[in-house]
Amino acid sequence: MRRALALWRRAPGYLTVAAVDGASVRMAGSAGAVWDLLPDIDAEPVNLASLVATLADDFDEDIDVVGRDVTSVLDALEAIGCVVRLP
Amino acid sequence: MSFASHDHPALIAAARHRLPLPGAPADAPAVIRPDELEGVRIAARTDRISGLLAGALRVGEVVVDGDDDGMAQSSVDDDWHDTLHASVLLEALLVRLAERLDGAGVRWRLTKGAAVAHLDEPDPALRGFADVDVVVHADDWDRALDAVPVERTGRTRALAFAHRYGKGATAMVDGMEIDVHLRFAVGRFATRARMADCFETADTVHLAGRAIPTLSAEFRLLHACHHAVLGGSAELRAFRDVAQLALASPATVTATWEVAREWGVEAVMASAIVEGWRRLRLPPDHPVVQKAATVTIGAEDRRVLELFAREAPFRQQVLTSWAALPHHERPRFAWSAWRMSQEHRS
Repeated sequence: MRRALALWRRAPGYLTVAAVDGASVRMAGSAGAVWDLLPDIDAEPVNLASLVATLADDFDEDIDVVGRDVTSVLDALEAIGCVVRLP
Repeated sequence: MSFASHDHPALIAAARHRLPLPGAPADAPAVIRPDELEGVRIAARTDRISGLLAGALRVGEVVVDGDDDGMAQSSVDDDWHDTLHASVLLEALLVRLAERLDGAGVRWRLTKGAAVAHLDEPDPALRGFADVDVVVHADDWDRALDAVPVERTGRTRALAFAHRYGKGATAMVDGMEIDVHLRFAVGRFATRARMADCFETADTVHLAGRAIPTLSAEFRLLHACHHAVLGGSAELRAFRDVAQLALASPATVTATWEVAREWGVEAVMASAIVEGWRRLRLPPDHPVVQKAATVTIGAEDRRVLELFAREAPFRQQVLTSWAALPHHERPRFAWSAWRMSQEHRS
């Protein structure tokens, strides 16, 4: 999984991302931390399980809780075409 | 020359936030009384410096009296987040616009908000903007108007005037504004601009995989100076742009003085720097402002700068071109301005 073509801004506790067609999302909480860990479009993709593990470790949270949060963030980003899930 | 005398200290502290001033002593925090908070927030939103205010609050350069529960920080953060969301939507529009301009073969450069955000600020999230600003080559004007696209109906003469003497044109796309500049200002100083110079160099920002050409740093600073003293509302943000660009790179300042000298607009650059230092209360012994203070501004240039500073009507601003134009150009200017005014009346 990795980023796709996107415009974005980060602030403490905030992330907003837009696709070139203008579809956009704005998210609070740890969504920005998820975005920070997603590789750029031309970089090696990251495995979802390792992404979740890293965040769970960083935030000292239960891995299942983090997994649900990350999935929800990725779903929103994928819906506007700003994240690519690879098979 | 004075542009505003009642900037709230918190707004000034915000506009100074993270300026590259190594070694400058820390100021005492600017204090916002609870009854002032709403007004300060509105002013920051209007000036698109909510991100700077949020940052200044976060590090204690600005404090809100009695804000023990952090609600003030939270409310300013909300304003900042709205600005950030608007910025990414505008950048999405910019990427679509870039495709059209490039496809039409228009020579163009991004300037002001998005360019300064990505190239000059320490973090693009600090620089809010409410429109997309591009400079197009005058020879590509018609193609640019088609590509943007600018509404032409009933504005033929206004657009012809803009092409010859004006600042440019504005388009609205999906409720967002695109300013298509031909010059950095109207009036006396615009008659001296050699805008084709802007297209001999470029910097680049990469947005959503697309290379976006921007004005190079000396022209970004020169545009910021024009906007600060000739742009109308003399916002703190405009002076921060001047200070940020001028403080970040002595080489850029030197190159900008060179262009300003070649164009005959040293008065604009000097005035913007001196006024910016005054408005932002920056160290008066800094070499950038000391150099600006040595520039001699002629009486007519000073009169025109003061006319813009007091936000005289647009017609008066445009008419400052008259004395600066060569004699043989004046009849055409008068004719073009008269035709534009007739179109405006009809």
